[in-house]
Amino acid sequence: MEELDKIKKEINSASDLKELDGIYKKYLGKKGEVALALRSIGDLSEREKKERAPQLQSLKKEIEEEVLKRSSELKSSGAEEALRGEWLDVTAPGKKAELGHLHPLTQIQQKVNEIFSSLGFEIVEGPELETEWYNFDALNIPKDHPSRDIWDTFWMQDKELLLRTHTSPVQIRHMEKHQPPIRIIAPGRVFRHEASDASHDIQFYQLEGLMVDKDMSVANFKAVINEFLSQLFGENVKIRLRPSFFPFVEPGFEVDMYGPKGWMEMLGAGMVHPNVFKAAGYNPVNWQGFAFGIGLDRIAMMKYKIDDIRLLYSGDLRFLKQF
Amino acid sequence: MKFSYNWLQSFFSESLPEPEKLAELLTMHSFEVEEVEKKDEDHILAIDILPNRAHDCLSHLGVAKEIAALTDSKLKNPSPGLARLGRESKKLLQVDIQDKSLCPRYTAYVVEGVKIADSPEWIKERLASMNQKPISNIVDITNYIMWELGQPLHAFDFDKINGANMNIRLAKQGEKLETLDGAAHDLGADAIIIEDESRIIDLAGIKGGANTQIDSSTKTIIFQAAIFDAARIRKAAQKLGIKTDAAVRYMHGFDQNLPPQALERAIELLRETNPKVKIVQKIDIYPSPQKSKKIAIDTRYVNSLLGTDISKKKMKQILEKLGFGLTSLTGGFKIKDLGFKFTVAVPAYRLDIDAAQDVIEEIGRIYGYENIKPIAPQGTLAVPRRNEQVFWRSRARDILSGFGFSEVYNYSMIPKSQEEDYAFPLLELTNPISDEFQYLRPWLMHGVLKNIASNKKYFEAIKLFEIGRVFFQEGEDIIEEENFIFALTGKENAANGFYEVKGYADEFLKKLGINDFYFDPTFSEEDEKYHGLLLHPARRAIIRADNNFVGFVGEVHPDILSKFGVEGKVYCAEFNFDKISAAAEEEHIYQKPSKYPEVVRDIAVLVPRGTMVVEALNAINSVSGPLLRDIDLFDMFEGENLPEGMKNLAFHLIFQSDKKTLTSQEVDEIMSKITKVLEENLWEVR
Repeated sequence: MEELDKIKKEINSASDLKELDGIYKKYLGKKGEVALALRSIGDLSEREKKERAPQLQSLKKEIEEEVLKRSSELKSSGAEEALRGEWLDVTAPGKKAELGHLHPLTQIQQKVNEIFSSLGFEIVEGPELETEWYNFDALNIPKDHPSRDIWDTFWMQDKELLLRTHTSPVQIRHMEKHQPPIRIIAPGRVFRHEASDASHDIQFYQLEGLMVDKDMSVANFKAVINEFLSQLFGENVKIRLRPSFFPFVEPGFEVDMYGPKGWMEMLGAGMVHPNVFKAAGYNPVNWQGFAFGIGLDRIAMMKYKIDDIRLLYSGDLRFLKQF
Repeated sequence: MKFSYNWLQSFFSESLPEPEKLAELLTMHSFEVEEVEKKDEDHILAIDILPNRAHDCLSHLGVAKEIAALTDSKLKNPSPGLARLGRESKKLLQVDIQDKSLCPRYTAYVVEGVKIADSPEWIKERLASMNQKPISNIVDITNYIMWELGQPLHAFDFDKINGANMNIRLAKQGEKLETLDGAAHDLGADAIIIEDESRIIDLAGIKGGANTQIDSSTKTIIFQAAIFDAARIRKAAQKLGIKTDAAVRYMHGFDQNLPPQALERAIELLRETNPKVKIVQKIDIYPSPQKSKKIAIDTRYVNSLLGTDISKKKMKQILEKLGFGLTSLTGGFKIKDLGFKFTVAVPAYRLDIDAAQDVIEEIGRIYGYENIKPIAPQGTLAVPRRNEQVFWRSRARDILSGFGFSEVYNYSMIPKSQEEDYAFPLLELTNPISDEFQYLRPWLMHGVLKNIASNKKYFEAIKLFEIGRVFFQEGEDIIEEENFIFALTGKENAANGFYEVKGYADEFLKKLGINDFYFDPTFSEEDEKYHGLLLHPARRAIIRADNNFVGFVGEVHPDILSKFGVEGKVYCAEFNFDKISAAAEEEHIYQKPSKYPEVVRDIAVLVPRGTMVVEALNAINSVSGPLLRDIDLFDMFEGENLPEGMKNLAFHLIFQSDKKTLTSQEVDEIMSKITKVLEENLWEVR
């Protein structure tokens, strides 16, 4: 079979389809060697015929297979060649997609909502324009009392109305209409009449939480707030409670979280004051609860390393488009 | 308030923990220590005394008592034994109080044989640590006592008091006083004053009068230690704009047992420079002594609220360290007598303890909140109800950011200057922070226009959206609503801009499942009043669903844009989001596509320019029947090749049946009906 090997070599040396076609014709074309040999088989003796015919048939088959194989090899590399001609510079910039952006406060709010929803908290909202009663009196902050001085308030020309200084009124409104157990968060915009600077503005977003049940305790609060802060900051946080004062809770505390700069004040909290339960229509003897409040602007500033709170209300697209 | 470490140490014989360590203890159990600063031989602790402890802890003794409870150290009492009176007590001074509510306790010593001199060094040092300038022995003592005990003291030169007579009353409108610092004050009707026979000599509780001040010739003095009505002091200090350290203490009130203790201490100190002074008169007007308080405590409630298992022995320990006396209900002192219930006697100097939860805080904070182990709350597994407004708001935001808009948050207030852009009254703040924040916003549009104006420097094409509360007055009612706005700019061809914002408005509503709405170019009188001034009069529409206002869309009025300094055009759509979220639908109903082919026919009609597309659509729909699935306006133009004042509208009409393949003939029949009705309107069909 050196014949066959020689032919195979020849076939595989074809560098393009045209050349291959020529080689095919040389052997199996109308005037091809093998074809001619096959046709002239009739001239041979019976014995010679019996020997030569299968040989030639098998040769023909081998040649055809080899040519097919070589042909498909050439086709794919030929296609490859063509494709390689269609080169693009892949390091040039891609087309800018027209992206929309959610405000960083929206993103923080959504994350916080998710965390509390997964803990079984309902999200409740209330008016920004509030009455004095819901914003102060119901929360154990009576008129002409020094504790009112803690909040600098925006008053409307209609003196009974003000821009709420915290979202605590929402808790009262909710308790008035629902029986315990209560598990809610009340997020929203709040207002303070103070000079704006890099860390304070006349408006910001607050989130308050409230859990009321038969025997809600400080220990329960610790567990819940630990869970919340860990999920928010994505790791096991180290917290501490220390004594503080707010008229609507007793005991009252500040919760600090440990960070790279040491202990940072995160939120105010405490056990709901009996006077607040009374204002909401609950009998304080039967119920215990905790409440807490945290500033979302501050969380956004911490998480995204924003250095000036006023950027959040500036409408500056160079800032907003980064989120 | 700033505290001297050495001064605090002076209350104890044992050494206190190092300043930093002490600061940590106080922060964790009493008040936050913001800073510990070394100052010469001393350390100054800046302690943030909580508002509800201002009545007892704005003094070194007060904080020393806290420290005693925290360190188990015993307090030395800075108050001496009884001072000795002079040979005989004389009646030199007459004090009258008009209304005992103004001054619940008035205590004073008249002291003879005074020699004005410098205070001893150690007193000067202590005052220096409080940043108080030393003046003379008498004046320094009054300040010293305030910092040490929390009782403000005032000293009068007895000989300057006309008629040896003092009357305490409220000031009358128009009365004046020149105070020690040389400032003249117009006293108001809330100020408590002391007058002698002929003039006012003291703005009680706030500042002394210049006319009776101590000077180098003073020989006889009155040391005054009193309790004045807290609410009035607070009001007067606010009105007059003078908030002295004395006033701050009076505003919060304090232990009514303090005045005589303060006077005793003052005499003790005075004897250092003036060993021979004589107290010749002691005055104490105290008609209604402070009542002691008793509170019933149940140990089970304490542990329930804190989530702890503190033994009653431990509770007793803590409370006794804090100066609370415990008794069982039957009066015994033994632990086993206490059972679950006991009574505490509140120390006189704690005005903040009124009820059980106040006592529980005392137990909890001294026990240490760090010792409370977190316990996950037990409760029924109830899936919280979804807040619909929050849900739709989130959806709406996703839709707009999907369209390529960026979200902004603006202030809820708008400038005074914008009042004229509205034809209805705005809600005004009594105490705005400035003119820029005078009114509450009735629409979101102004905030967004302000944003566009400032972003124009950096961006050509701007797409913004905002969702937030707006406020306005409707008759007697004050309304607060949630609105949603999106706006775009950068499209100079007005038609492109308008139809783009309209397209977004259309898709926005549909994506929220609202399909039943239309764009109404007709503005009623009320529409004009509330929305008219903001939009270009010929390029605006009200969006109505169920015939109710749901929002508006349009090109912003050029006058408004020029006010904001915005060049070019701005297109916006603003919605009442409360109405949108009420109408929004989440459910989709799958419509099976027909298996029979569509037949599309085009039709063009020449109409006068003022004819609205909706008129042609209505005409076509009136005769076409259900087989006309969709009408798609694919071209709208005027210009050359068309007659003057006319425009060409071209539609794809898409016919389809669910039941069979439509024949050409069937479609032709409908087309000729359509052609007929269009021609009846005097429009030329092409």
